Amino acid sequence: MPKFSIPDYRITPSGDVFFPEPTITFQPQALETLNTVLGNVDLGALEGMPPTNEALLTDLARHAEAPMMAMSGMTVSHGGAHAKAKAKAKAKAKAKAKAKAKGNVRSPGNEGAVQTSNAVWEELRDLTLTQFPNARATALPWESLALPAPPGPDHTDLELGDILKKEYALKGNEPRKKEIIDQATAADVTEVLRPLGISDPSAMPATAALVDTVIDICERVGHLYKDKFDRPRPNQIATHLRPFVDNPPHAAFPSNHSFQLYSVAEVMSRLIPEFPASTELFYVAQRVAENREAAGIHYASDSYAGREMARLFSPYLYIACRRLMRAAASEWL
Amino acid sequence: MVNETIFDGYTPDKSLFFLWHLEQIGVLGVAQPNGKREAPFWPDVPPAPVKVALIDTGIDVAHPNLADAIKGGQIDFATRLYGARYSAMGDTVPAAATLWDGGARSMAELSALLPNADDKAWLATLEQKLTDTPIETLAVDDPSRFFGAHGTACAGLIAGHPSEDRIDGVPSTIDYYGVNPYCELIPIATPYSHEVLPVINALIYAWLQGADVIHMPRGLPDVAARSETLKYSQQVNRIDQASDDTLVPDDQASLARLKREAQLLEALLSALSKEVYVVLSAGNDGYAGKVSYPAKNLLAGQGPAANPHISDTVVVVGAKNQRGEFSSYTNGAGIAGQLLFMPSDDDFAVDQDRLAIDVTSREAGDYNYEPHVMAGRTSTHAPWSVLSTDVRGSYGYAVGADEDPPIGHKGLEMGSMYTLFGGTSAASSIAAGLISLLIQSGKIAKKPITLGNLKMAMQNEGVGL
Repeated sequence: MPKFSIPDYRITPSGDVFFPEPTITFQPQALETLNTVLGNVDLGALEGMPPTNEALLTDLARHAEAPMMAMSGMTVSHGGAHAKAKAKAKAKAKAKAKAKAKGNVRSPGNEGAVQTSNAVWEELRDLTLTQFPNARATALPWESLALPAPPGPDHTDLELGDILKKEYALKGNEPRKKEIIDQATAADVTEVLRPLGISDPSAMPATAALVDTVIDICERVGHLYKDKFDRPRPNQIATHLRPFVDNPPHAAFPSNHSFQLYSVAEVMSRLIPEFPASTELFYVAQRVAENREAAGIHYASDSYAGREMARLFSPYLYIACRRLMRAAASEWL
Repeated sequence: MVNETIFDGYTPDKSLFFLWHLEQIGVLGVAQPNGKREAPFWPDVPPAPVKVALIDTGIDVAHPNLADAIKGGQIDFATRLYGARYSAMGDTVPAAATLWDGGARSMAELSALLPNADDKAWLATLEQKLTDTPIETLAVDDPSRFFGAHGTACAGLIAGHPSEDRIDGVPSTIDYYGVNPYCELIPIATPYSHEVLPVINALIYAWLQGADVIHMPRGLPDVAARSETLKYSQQVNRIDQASDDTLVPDDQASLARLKREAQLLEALLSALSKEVYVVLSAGNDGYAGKVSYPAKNLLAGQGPAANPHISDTVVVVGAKNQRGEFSSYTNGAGIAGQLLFMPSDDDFAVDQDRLAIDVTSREAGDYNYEPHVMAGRTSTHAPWSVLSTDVRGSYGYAVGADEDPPIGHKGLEMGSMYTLFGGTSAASSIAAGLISLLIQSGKIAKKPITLGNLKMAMQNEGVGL
């Protein structure tokens, strides 16, 4: 091992290692010479050199000893915990690709209407925010709803115990398994229309379009909050879990199924409170949310957060959907 | 500014001294005006090296910043239960016969450390097996050379040292330093399977080789806890649930056998921790009051109710970030008195217990977090990781342009030889290096003292956090 001389390299958070700017200046050729013949070079002969002194010599020697790499800088990779961040970034890219592949959302009874694709929520957000380059995080008030952050690791651990019990319980429960499969896509709104007594969506096109729109909007808003908290899915923490359906390619909190279905209930009960079926939709929403827990892909606290999101977001939803709501109301009253 | 109350004026430096963690724990002094740094525990004349056994994935033993620290080669209990050596392209390996009986200590001494007669008997059976089964020398490349990134990063933090290697007079490496550039490293590869036996063999090997510090920056499945958790599951197997199948004696897919071996593992760790320093990582699950297995079964209040394996000399290490705050992922922040904390990196976490957002990240400028957290809470996040060594070539964490490391040539792209590293693995590696350094400098004895006294000794020497 060589005698210790600890170089004064610098490092950045992203892993760039570099040598700081020399505190003295000299000709590049001089440095090259010094590098190759260090130990024999007559420093006094170097062009443009100030008078030699001990401090300067030390400094020069230090620089000359530095490997060439250090002169130009190098970038090292992120190991260890950073691997997790990388995996998350990958999952996000996958989520986007998958969402894009999904294409347009069909609304029963409303097939002819022009629909925006669900796939571009992040791009649409960025387009909107070009109007607010200096206030991106606060420009859109529905992105700053006071949803409490998810529980920490210790509470999550307790929730994982519940999920395992639900996994056991689901084993022999074929009807519930079928229900979970049927509800896998929240965009399939039969679940909502049936309690409302709508068997043919084309008979009540505005109501069907309203339900569809609410689900679409909430999916986008929900994705934003998922991205904010980045909570891992249950079996990403407890690897002994065997979820009944695949993990969706985005974070767990809040549950979008819960948020979407509770939002439909909020909207419909606001619209036609005198119809008891509109209250029934809250029970439907809770069942759908709990089915996602039974399937092993959501914590109970995700379902709770979805319900809270629906409450917090509802005023914005009413304003945004008011014309559709008016049209839907005319089908009922 | 958005999230102003959360960040509370924190602005990270643009850059830091590349071994900032060594400066932070007092192994290196701050830079003098002439750029020099004091290294009070690194004498000019190499002292007698202290031996640190690293029980992990295995490492790239020929990494130029590590090679001088490794005298006895690497042994692998992952590919052969009773030990494998690799000898590709004419590498010389120590003769197999010397590994068990030529070591510094004996099996009899180890057996004497175990208080339980059952454990002694189990160890005796194992000794017979170890004696009967020769360590195999395989004529292939050591897999850890390609896939030992985790171990190589841990090894660098402990034992990294500058290399004399030059290409045309120019150093082919950076002058990298671990906490104890003088120590001798005993790298031991273990599998990440459900099995316990390979790790027991690794511990025995470390003991026989005379390790003064045994470092395990890895967790293991908690056999008993897992089978308890899954006792009502309908998807279990013989590993998770007791069965009455007739098994051949060597079949380890047996809950009863795994439980028995886990007990021996804990007994060995506990007994060894009273003779040599045993350094374990706390785990990266973010539990405030818990640490991961096997550390948990050595700490009071953590493992089973009547726990015979509690040790007050075992060193369980959690992670703090560059700002001295608990890293968001560390286990044991709520029982900090029972743990030792050392520098490491940090990770994003926003929940009811933790608030750690990278102020330089997209989330910090793009999302408003204030509505989601209690007023007055501030982010503890620091964006820094520690620098360490990586396996050479394009395997491991850092990727270079060459797919494979060239044979017999140490001049590789430097970017592929170093990596940012973190987790409680990094923190515990720094702790293992520091303890070995204090032993080597005569500041503490080889015989372990309680964690409380160790912390006090560190404080007296001006080292540690």
